[in-house]
Amino acid sequence: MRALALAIAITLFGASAGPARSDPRSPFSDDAIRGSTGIAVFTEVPPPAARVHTGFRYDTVRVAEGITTFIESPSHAMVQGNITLIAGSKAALVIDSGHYPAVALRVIADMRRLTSTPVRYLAVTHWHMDHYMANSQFAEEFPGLTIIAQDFTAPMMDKYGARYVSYGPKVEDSIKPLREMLATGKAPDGTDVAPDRRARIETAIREVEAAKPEFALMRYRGADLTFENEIDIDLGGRIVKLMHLGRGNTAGDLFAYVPDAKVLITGDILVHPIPFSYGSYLTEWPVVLKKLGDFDTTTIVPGHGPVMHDKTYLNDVRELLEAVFAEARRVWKPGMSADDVRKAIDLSAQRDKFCHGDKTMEKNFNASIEGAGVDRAVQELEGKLKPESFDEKDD
Amino acid sequence: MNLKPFLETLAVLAFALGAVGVCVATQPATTPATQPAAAGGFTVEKLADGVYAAVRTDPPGLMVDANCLFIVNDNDVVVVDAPEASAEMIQALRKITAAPVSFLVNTHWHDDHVIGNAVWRKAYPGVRFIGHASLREYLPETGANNRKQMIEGAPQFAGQMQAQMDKGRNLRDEPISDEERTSYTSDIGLVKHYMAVVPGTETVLPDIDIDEGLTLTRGKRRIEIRHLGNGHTKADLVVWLPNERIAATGDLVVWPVPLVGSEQSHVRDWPGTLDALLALSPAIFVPGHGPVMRDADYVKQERDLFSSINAQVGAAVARGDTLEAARKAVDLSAFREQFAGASKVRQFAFGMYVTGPAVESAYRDATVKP
Repeated sequence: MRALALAIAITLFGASAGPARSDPRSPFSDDAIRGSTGIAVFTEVPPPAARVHTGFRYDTVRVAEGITTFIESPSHAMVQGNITLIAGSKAALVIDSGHYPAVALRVIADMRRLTSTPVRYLAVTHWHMDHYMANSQFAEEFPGLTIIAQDFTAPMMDKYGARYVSYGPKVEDSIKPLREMLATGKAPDGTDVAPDRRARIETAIREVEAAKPEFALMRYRGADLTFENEIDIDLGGRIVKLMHLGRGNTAGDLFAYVPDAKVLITGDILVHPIPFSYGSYLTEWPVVLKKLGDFDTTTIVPGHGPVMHDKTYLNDVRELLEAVFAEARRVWKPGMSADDVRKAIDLSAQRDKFCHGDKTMEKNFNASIEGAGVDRAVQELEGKLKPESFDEKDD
Repeated sequence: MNLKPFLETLAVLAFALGAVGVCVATQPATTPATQPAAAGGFTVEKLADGVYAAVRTDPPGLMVDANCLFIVNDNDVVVVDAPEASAEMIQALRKITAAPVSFLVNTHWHDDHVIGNAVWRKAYPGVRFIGHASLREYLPETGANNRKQMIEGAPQFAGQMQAQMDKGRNLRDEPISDEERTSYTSDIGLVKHYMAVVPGTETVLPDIDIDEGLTLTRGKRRIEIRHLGNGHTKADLVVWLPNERIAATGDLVVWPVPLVGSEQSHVRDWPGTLDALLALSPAIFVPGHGPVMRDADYVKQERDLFSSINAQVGAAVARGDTLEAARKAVDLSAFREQFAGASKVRQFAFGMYVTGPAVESAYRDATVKP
């Protein structure tokens, strides 16, 4: 069988030692890491803080007048995308509902403290599940809520989000290899598990276990308003432009622009600290980033990571993606596999720029950029881009 | 009587409103919607499960109010257009369902399609309005000016009509026919209703602006709202129900004669927009004004009219004709026969709303660089 098709926990950095190996029975195989569209990046977070899921931490960040972003902080083993509230005088709009129903209820309570304006709209930035699995909670808390997505995104949500509510048991499957590592003291490659690594694995397991009850609360709720390129919403004294400028992280990337506040809310078109490039469009994504860079904006809220006050990171990501494709194109010849390409290219300058020598981040970079990104670049060069998917059985 | 000033007034109104989005209901609000038009100004016609057209039944004339479409879903209702008779339309809808209206689509910016927004919002506080992005600019400026002119001019217009009728004369100062008398009576009623509901009514702008379109999904129901191109105005939206194959066209399609505004319509683009509409292969057309149509014949007739105008005006422009020369050269008599037949009322409307403004619109489009 092919690797476990699991929404979460695709990039199990560190769980498999060194470069990923092909073990068809293990989610740590190349396929699991590279072949599937990982949704939430599953990272081992640094010790020591034990974070049970009920204690899922997020920062409440004031972005501008009436605009607040709820940012997972720090990154948990099963991540959640940023949630942003944009309030006008007669209505409020939320960008993404996040991954977890119980967390969403806490965020909603915070929102009610921040504004008395009812949330009438919820826009989903793309179909990856860490961005909308709490739609139901928002819809129940705000009757009459309209859930908005781009035309491509809505059916992808219907396909994968609806299935994801039953993924709870698979979450346990995903951490079995970690448990084995703790039990045997050996990584799949036979090396010993060092104490610091053991601590990281323990934290990851604890966080995944804590997330499990959230799956029981999930009830899928899809979009009821869809559009292709742009709609503008009047929240009362404030217009929010919901836009799609082409394929990038997914084929349905939606972002929000608030002209009066000069705020861009990008979804996973921009992810900090490492872009998430599974299923992405390497040549088109930089074009979208270039267009985003042309907006009159002073504040950028990425899909994951901190609020930014300049375009440095946006430009860095654009250059990274351009560099990955350029490198792949430089070495690729018909018949070459993605692995062949990986061996022949040099992304060290970009790796250093994004990871600053941090080993965990390098593993993330190797999986998401050198792994998935190069896969997609090669698919483009072959003229055979695979459809985006979550379950490998769709491939 | 010298009709010229009156006609000029009327023409100014008609052309300034870009096709006379002027409209009114003939009867007070108390009439049950299911009764024939003469009683209430409209009838409600069920087109498919949960889909109802509220169709005006006024006789053909110079004044009009718009049709409405009710799309009743499991938990909410989506409404197309907010006519002057919106209060009456709401009563009719409430007889069908107690579900709240969640969205109302304004198919373009003329008062007979937007003036009822405030009434709908009062009845359904959660309703949100969807319109073409240009409404946000148009309604507070040009729209407000046109409304002001209409409020000032309409009573005078009605008074002059009444005076002509009292003398037994039509607007051309000829002996009045029964058809004309019926039509004028309706027009005067529509003006009265307009004056009763429009002055002082708040302009409600869209909550959601679209340039191209959006789709509402309600269970199995799909409601596609599309700007298929310019035509009656540059803000024209079509509401398309692909499962039921029903298209609400707004004033892209108007019976018995098209409504063209010399300033606001885009005759050059109109045939292409109607072709895009026809390409959807609707089984049912709900026009902005006029009865529900169950075949495409009338829509094609309208398209062919505009195509012919474009071709004839194009030829006139190519040989260097002035607008006045082009007006004389363009021959629409065959179309006039098709649309108006022997009806004096329709012939007059064809002259008012097609021949004059459409040639001017096409001439402008053919001579102005894009």
